[in-house]
Amino acid sequence: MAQTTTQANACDIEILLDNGSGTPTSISGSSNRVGFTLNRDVGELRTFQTEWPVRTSCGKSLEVTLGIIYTTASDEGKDIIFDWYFGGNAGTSRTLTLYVPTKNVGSDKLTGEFALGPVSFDGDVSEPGPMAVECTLMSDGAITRSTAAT
Amino acid sequence: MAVYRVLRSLDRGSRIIEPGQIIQIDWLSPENVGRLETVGAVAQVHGPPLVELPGWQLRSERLAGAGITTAVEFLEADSAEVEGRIEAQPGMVDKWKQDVQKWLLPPPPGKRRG
Repeated sequence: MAQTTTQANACDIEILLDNGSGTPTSISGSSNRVGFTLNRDVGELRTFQTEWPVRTSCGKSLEVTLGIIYTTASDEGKDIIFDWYFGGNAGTSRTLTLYVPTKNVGSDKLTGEFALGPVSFDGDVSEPGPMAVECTLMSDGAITRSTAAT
Repeated sequence: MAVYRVLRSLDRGSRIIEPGQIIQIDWLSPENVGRLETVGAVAQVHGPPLVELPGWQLRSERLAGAGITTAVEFLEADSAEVEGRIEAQPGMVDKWKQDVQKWLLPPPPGKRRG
């Protein structure tokens, strides 16, 4: 098979997260890492006198991990996440949209409602680079995948 | 303008175009349409001659007089212009186009067309 020519890197990923007003806000300029896991709930069944289990599966979920730069401006990634957590509505899901690998036509668009999971921060005096915040968002309902066509 | 079958959900910002639909992509540049084809989100439709569609013998003869012989040529054509050339009533060609689009859509799962 011929070697692919459609490889892509992560440089131009676009991340949109609702701010406290419910407005989709790009946090691509204040984050530098995103990852997700496509989870499947898979069970197994094995009976007596059988060596090989069979599988049953049912649920799906998606877990997103965001690597955010610790910045001090409002409405940037860290501010939105901290406001979400401390603002009294941490239990309310928000819309997250990912465009991969870019926001251009033909890219994958994943969007849906997400609950705020753990947020971690670690300030290290011996680290000269910018501080980082990491947070995990967990899907709340169906997540849709489409192809960007605008 | 070419006619395309949607293979993957397309996000137009304000709405989602579901797989299976037959569309003309008039809002994107040819380059961007090519991108959608490259990623397998759409595929160009190469429809049959109109005369091959059930019940289309007479209509295909009328349209042939206007130089239109295939389903794609018909869908691409300007409806008002075609109506003028074949002396059809206003709105008739758009109805015919809807009929052609139905024939180009994949049948619902488990159903046979015919």
